[in-house]
Formats: sequence, structure tokens, C-alpha cells
Amino acid sequence: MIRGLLEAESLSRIYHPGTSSEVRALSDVSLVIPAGSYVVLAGPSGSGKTTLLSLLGALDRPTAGGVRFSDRNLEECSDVELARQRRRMGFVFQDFSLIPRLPIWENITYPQIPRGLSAAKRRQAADDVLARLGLTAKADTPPEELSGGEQQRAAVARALIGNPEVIFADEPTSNLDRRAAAELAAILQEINDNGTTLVVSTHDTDLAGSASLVFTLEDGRLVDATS
Amino acid sequence: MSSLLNIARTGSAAILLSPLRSAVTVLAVIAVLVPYLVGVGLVEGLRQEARIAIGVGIPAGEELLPDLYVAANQFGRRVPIPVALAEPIGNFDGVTRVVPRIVGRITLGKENVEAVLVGMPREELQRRGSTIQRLAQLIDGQLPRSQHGEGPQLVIGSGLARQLDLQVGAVIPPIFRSGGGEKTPTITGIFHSDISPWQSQMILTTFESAADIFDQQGLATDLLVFCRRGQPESIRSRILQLMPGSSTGDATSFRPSVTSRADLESLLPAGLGHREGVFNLLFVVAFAIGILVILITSGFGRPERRREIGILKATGWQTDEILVRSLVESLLLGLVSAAISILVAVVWLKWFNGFWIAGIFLAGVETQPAIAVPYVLAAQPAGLAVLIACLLVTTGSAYSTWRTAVTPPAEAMR
Repeated sequence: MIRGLLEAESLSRIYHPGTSSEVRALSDVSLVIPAGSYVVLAGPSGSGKTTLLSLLGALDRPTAGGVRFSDRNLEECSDVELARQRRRMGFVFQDFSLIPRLPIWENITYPQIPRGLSAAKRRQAADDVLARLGLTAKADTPPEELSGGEQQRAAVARALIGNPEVIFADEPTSNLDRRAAAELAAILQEINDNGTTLVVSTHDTDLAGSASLVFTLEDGRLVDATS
Repeated sequence: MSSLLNIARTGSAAILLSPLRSAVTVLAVIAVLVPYLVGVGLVEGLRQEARIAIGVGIPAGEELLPDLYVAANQFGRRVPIPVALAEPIGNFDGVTRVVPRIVGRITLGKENVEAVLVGMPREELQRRGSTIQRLAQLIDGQLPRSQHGEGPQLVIGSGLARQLDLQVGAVIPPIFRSGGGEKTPTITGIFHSDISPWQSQMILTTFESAADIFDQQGLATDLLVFCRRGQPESIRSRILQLMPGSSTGDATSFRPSVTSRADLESLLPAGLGHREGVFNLLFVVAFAIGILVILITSGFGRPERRREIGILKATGWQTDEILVRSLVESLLLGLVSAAISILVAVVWLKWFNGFWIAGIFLAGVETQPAIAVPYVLAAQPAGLAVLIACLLVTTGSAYSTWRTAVTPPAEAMR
């Protein structure tokens, strides 16, 4: 059996179980994501891509089944342990999820604050990552003054800053224009080329074309796995 | 340790990240704290004024204030005491002097403005070094000198002067009809507006004129007994032996009452305590409402805050770290709120002279007090205000922060 960086076993997620508004977002999904791979979760809206991404990234807990990340079963982790596991991951959200009014350099280094890094060290780390992503000039600008493409690059910078083993990106190009989307796709490819595992949920066929592994979901079920 | 400091710093920065929420929280705390501080400041000020008035801390024999107040009671009510008793009491060894005093209630003008009339003997009013003589420095005009049968000379409180539109030298319609016929009172002085509230509605005149006004010759409200150091207790016993008591059983008999300054001091908390108690009760209600207000105001920018916490959790922050950040933010907001509240309370008391709120504690004081309201903003209530502010903000925000922090980040960010 292949041992991956991430393994999902019979993963199910039901929202509001036992109520009239019950939603079965994910049903019995099992998959393996090898280390260093570029994985795309494809499928129409409402197919369960974001839910699967949240469960793989320890942002949510499954109703049934489990996720194994590296050597840990996430469902067995305490709240503190889950937070520690998340420090080994990076997240890029569809709506960027940057903290308003906070300069970009602080936004992207916010995850490092509890790790005791001094402001000077954080600034240095931020400058390095921002230079890599072409955002040096925007380091002191709050997110609301940036374009969508710049905000998404800042979000990628935040995901990168802690040198994560895996980066999860949820529809990262959906709020961007064509040019910005192409730039971001190139950045993601570069990140993966450097050895970081990428798990991206997307409708974007260009992004899907770069993937080493594509999982297709429909109505919360895994219907196809293509490498 | 450095990570804790870093987290604490983000707590202080968080105040500016949610400016609307911070501003509303601070305003809500100020709305609760300022009336409390102003109220407590007034109560303390009044207590201090009252303590000064009865001479707490002034040892017996200093001749500034009486050591014993001798009065008469019938059926539990105060009745006049014969002035003639002043002589035998004055002869007691250890008594330096006995001053009869008249304190009565009268009404003035067409509006029937109520006033307290105090009559003191002319020689006492002119006695060098007496408290009354010191009071003369707080009067625009002169102390009264009117004798029995003459038109009374009056010094009136600033509140009365303003209400009745009276100046020094003014004459007012006769306020009495005694056996000696009508006499027209003259205003010889007005108390400054910035002296104690007790004098605002007061009229000071000579003992003789007061007796004419009330048409009760030979009687006083009480006798003020000044004693030598260490003597008051023994003199009190001797006065009680001297006075007739109830044994005679005729219409003029009365039960004596001798009150020392220590007795007055012990009575002091009871009077002020009533209003203070009512105020404290109201404040407890306000405090409870304050917590609700903070809970509601913490809803300002709540989706944004919820999302922010979700982002923190998603990027590796632990629940306890988020709670520390929130705690620091709450404590700083509490400190800022308390500091502003103390400042506003001082401004309210000092520059706005306890506008509106003074009327709650001082009978007869209007919305805009005519007198300088007494206040003392001590360290203790100020410290308590800081504690209350921190408690209010922390209580208001801790639960919602904790609830969000233990929610899966995906849900919090939704």
C-alpha cells in the first residue's frame, strides 16, 4: 500500500445532522496524496471540494472516517495538537482571508507570532517571501489597498512563510482576472517544483492541467482519480 | 516568554484593527462608569463637608466648634430649651462658654421658598476667632448686628439670593408679626456661591432677631457648650443631672438630650448612607445592564472578529493564544475606558459642577447647582473603576471569543 503525506479514509462530513437542514457534503471519500505531488480537487460547485480541503487541512472535523497527516491521525488530535499540525501546513483561501487594516508584512507573518519570532526577524522573513512574489513595494500596505491578484499573492506568501510541508489552496484563481490567475498558477507551480506538496481545489482547467494527480468529486463522492 | 509578549502586543494592536468595536465598547463602559464615579465623588465630598461641619478631628477645647449640643425632647420630638439654662451650665467647672442657638424653618417670597434660619447671639457673631467670624470672610457684606425689637439684619445663602433676586442692602417684606409689630428685614450679606451646600438655603441672623421672627422669647433650639480639653464627658453627665427631666410632669417639662461631636460623627454615615445605598443599588443594576451592553456591543464587527479568529486558528494559533490576545485587548480597553471615565468624571464635577447628578444627592439643588458641589475623587473608587472596567470588557468579550476559538476554523471563517 502506498503511504502518502496525506491519507483520507472513508471520509464523510454531514452538516446539521439529524435536522431538517441536514446536508451531506462529503460521503465516504478515500484518497492518498503523496509527498511532493501537485493535487487538484476538481468538480462542479457544491461537489464537496472545499469540504474535503478543510478536512484534509484540519480546518474541520469529519462526521465519519479520518485523515492521516504524515504520522498523525488528525481525528485523534486535541485542539492544541491540531493547531501544531496546522503550522506544518499553509492555506490559501478563495477570498484571501487577510486581516483588514494590518500591513501585508504583518498579515503574512501573523502565524509566526506565537512562535516567539521577534518583529525584526518576522519582517526579514516577510521581505524575503514578498520579494519572491513581487510584492516588496506593498509590504507596508493594508490588504484593502491591494488588487485582487496582489491580495492572493499575499495570501500565498502567508502560506509559504512557515515553510509548510503542504499548501492547500481553495479556488485560488476564482476571484482573479486571467492575467493574475496565470501569474498565480506559475507561482504555485514554482512552489511545487521546490518540493512542497500542493492540494488545490479549482474549476480552472489551466491549474488542473499542471497537476500530477486530479481527484474529481460529484455530489460529495469521489468519482474519478487521474494521474 | 517572548511568544507571550508577542501575543500580548497583537492584543494591543487588535484595538486598532477593529476601531468601531473598540470605540463602542469604550463608550459603553464610560456610560456605566462615569455616573458611578461622579456619584461616589459627590458622596465622599458631602461626607467630608459634613465631617468638617461637625468638627471631626478637632480635639475638644479648641474653641472652634461646640463639644456638646444640649437640646430638649418631648414625646420623642425636639422642643425649645430655655435660654436660662445656659447660665447654670456655664458655671460648671470645665465649661468655657455656652451659646444658645435658634435653628428654624421659614418660607420666603411669593413662591414660598423654604429656608433654614439660624440665629446666633450678637456677641458670638462678633467674637474674634470664632467659627462665625471665620465665616464672615465668606460673606459679601456684613454679619448681622440687629438687636431685639429692631428690623432683623440677615445674611442669606447664595441659592436664596438667586431665587429671590436679592442683593446686599435689599429689604424684604415682613416675614413675621410679633408682639412688637411688623419689622422689615434687611439683607446685610450674602454667602459666596462657592461655599458649602449647607449655606446655600440658609439665613443667618442674630439670636435676638431670630427670637423676634419666631416670636419665642427666652427659648433656644439648642445650647452649644464649649468645654476644656478632656472635660466633655463629665460635663455631659452633670448637664443631665441638672436638667429637669420628666419628673416634674408639667407642660414645661422635657427630656434632656446632650449630643457630643463623637455622637454626631457616628450618626453621619446613617444619613448619607441612605442615599449612597440607593445609589449603589442603582449602580448594581447599571453594572448588570453594562455587561449586557458590552455583550451587545461586542456584536459590533462580530462577523469580522469571528472571521479573524478563524484565520488565526487556520494559520496555527492555539485557543489559549487567542484567549491571551483577547484578554490583553480587553484589559487595555478597560484601562483606556477607566482613564477616560475618571477624566470625564473630574470634568463633570469640576467644570460642570455636578450638573444634574448633584440633585440626586443634595436636597434642594437644581439641575444646574448654584453652589460649588463638594466632591472627593479618591484613589479607592478610581481603582475600583479600573477593576470594574476591565471586568466589564473581559466578561463581555471572553465568552464569544472562547466560543469562536473552539469552533473549527472552517466554520468560524464561513
